[in-house]
Formats: sequence, C-alpha cells, structure tokens
Amino acid sequence: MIKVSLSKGFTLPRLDKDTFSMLMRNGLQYDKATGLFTVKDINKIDRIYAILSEAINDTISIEVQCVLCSSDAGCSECEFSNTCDRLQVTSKCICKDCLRNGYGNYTREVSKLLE
Amino acid sequence: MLVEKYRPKSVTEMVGNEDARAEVLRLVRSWGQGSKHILIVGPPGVGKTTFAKALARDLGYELIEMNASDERTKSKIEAIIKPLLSNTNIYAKNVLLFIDEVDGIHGSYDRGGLRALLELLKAATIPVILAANDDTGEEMKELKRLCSTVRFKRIPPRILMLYLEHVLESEGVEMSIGDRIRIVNESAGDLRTLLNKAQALLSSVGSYTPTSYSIPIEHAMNRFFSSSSMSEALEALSRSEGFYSSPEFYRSSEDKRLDKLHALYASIVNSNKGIDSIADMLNTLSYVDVLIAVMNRGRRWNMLRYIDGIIASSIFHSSRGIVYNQYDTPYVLSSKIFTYGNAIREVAASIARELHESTHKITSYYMPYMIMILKNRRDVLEYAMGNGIISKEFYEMIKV
Repeated sequence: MIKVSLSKGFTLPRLDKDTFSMLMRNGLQYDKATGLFTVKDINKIDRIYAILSEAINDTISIEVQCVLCSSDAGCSECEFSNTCDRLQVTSKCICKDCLRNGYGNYTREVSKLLE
Repeated sequence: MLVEKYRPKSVTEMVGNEDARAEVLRLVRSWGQGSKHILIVGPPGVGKTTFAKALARDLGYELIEMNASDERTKSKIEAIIKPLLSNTNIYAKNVLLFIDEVDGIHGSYDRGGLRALLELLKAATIPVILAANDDTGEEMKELKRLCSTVRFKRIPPRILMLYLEHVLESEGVEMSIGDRIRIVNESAGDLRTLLNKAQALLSSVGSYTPTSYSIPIEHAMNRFFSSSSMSEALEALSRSEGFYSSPEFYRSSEDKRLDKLHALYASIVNSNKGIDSIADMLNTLSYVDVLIAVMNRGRRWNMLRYIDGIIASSIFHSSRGIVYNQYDTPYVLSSKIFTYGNAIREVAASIARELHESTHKITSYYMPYMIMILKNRRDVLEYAMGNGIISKEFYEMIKV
C-alpha cells in the first residue's frame, strides 16, 4: 500500500517519464534533497490520485493532516476510514488526540489561523 | 431548529474548510479597488452562505445579499447592484455584496442576468463574494476570470463528530456512540444534514436506527396509500427515506426516485382512479410543488416539515387503494415515445446527411412541416414507405 501523506510528503516507486511529468503538471512537487513528493495544489488531489492509481499497481491511501497539530490525522486508524471519501473532503481533519480536547480547543486554535 | 440555533455568528465558530476560510479572509482584508472578487465554490451544506454572513459581521461590513429567491434578470441586477457598485460614497465604503448560487443565473428565467453581472463586477468599487455549487459550466468561465476562486469541500467525518458532540453537550442530551457514528456517516460531509438528522433523532423516542427512523420509499408510499387512518398515513410519509427537493437539484435518477412528491405523482398517474379524482390529487401536488419551490428559493427549509401534513390531509380519502409506482410515464406511453423517438431520429439523420444540415436543425425546424405535408399527402407517404425512405414506425406515427 502506498501512503500519500499530505502533511509530511511521501515516496513513490520509480515512475516512467510520462507519468512523472503528468503528476508534476497536476500539482505534485518533488524535493530532490529529501526525495519526497508533496501535493502543491490540493484542489487537484483527485487528478493526482487518478494518475497514480493507473500507474501503480497497488492500493493508494491518502493520509490527511491534522488542522491543529499539523501531524498526520491518522486516517488508517480512523473510525470513519471506510466511509470517509478523502478525495471529497477537506485536506485537513483532526487527529484523535486533538479530538479529545473538544470543540472549544478547536475553535481557539483555528481562530489563530484566521487572524 | 438546531440548524438555526447553531448557525455560527462568527467565522471562528464554524468547523471545517479552515484553509479556505483563512484564504477568503485574507482576500477580503486585502481587497482594494481593482482587486479580483471572490468566488466560493463548494457542495451544498458546507457553509458557504453562513461563512459569507459571519465574515461580514466579523469584519464590520454591511452585507447586501442576493440569493436565488430574488429575480435576477438583467434589469433587476442593474437596479439593485449598479448603485452599490458604482458609487464611491460613504455608504459604499463598508458594504460587502454577496451573490449566492451564482451558477444558477442562466437560462430563460434569468435572461441576460449573468452578462449584466459580469459588466458590473468589472467596475465594482466594493468587494463582492459570489457562491456557487459548481463552477464547471461554460457560463462560469468568464466569471472565474474576474474572481479568485476558493474551494470549500465536504467536512471530514471526525470534524462533524466534534461538532455533533459540541451540540449534544450544549443541548444537555446524550446519544449512543452508534447513533452518533451513523448520523455522521449519513451526513456525508454536510453540516446542515448532520444537524437535521440530530434534530430528528432528538425529537423521536428511543435509539436511532435506520429501521426505526426511516423506511424505504416504496414501503412508505404503499403504507401511506393503504393506511386506515390519516395519522397512520402521515406517519408513513414522514418516516419515508425520501425528501422534498427541487427538481433542479436532482443529481441522479436515484435523487428523483427518492423525491416524495415524484413518488406520489408517479403512483397517482399510474393508478386506475377516476379522472376527476386524479385531477384533484394532482392539483394538490401542484400546489405543494409551488410551496416547496418557494421554500427552497427562500431557504426556508424548516417549513418543509409541514408538507407531509398538507399532503396527507388533502389526498388521504381519494388515494386509498393506490399502489406505489416508480415511473411517472405509463409503460404504454413511454414505449410509444421511445419507438417514435427512434423513428424520428432515424429519418432526421438521413435528411441531415442529404441536406448537409445538423440533425438538431432538421428535427426542430424541418420536421414539423414535413409531418404536416405527409399527413395531407398520403400518396407521398405511401411512396416513401414503399421505397424504404421511411421506416414502418415512422409511417405509423404519421398515420396516427
């Protein structure tokens, strides 16, 4: 399974030239120094997913970012992992630890982002 | 209503779409004359309208709103918006214009509206926020050139859960974890649906399970038509999995199947009731259809709860014994339409090839005259049929 982490970046198996350039054109970025791919344009995630699905013979799992602590939200262990359409929802969710801190903490932290 | 009670007053009280909210706030704060306007695109129920209202309140703007319930023809748009957009007076300084459901400004009803809006936006001296469910249409292309597009997406289930728990805590009520998960899953990222489902559960007795909460539309309709009392019939209608929606929001044939008004209509027109009885029932449905359209246009969804009662009390007596039918056109008629449609398309395609015209033009402009001529000239009709120019189906259609 290939984990596409939207917070930390991710690695991919070797891709052919056409697939690589198609991914770059559709908002994927490659950092030579770290060897990690990152999604530059999150609005194109569905296209990136479609290209990868076609090119790679493996399951692709998208891991969204926690809006409060910026770590992985923990999609693979999420109680909604079977029903959440990660291509349709926002690229940021909330991890289990931050969820425990409740709505008050969420609004406090998000209001800092909105300042 | 929970939807009204928990409608956020500030952008910080909202949940989901954090980056998109920050982006719109940044754009509005830095807006100056000549800057692009803001187009918010996203599915229903993710908070586009609520956000625009909360943002205006937070930033001290006076919000002038124009939504789908307003008439948005060229003249109306010019009359309402022109003074706002072109005046650099003291009043205009703190005004924010919000145009909701801008993707709905097209077609014959809003004739010229979009063109007028584009012209006005080019010269606007105040920020304008536009909201749309979909930006893929041809008519949206030019609008997008004048706007910075920000996308609102569906809210992830965990964040919906966070919000649901906040609401339940504020209301001082408890709900089992199973019910909470089920409601969140069924809401599919739509906050409005989440609150409506929570409301439905809180007003009902016992645990929330699909069987106790909603019943499949075919069972609900059959139960409605066979109930021995009006209260039983009303209960069947209100517990149906179906809903009342405007046909313009049908996304699929499944949406159409789940529309309660459509299910009632299809069942009635396919019934063997007398013509007067059918006419009475259809009059009621027609009246209710208008009511639903008004409620949808005015976003007064809380009024939809009265529709079941209106229907049940109006058609209960005349609708006993009807059986649910999913298809609104009787089979005999739909098969004829299908056969004749194919025959017309076939002939139109042949003529189009001969005359180097489009099939659409032949069907729309030439065909009505051709049919009139053939109806009066039976000899020509017989000749065309005899020489294989027209099909047997087309021949029979003309004869009818």
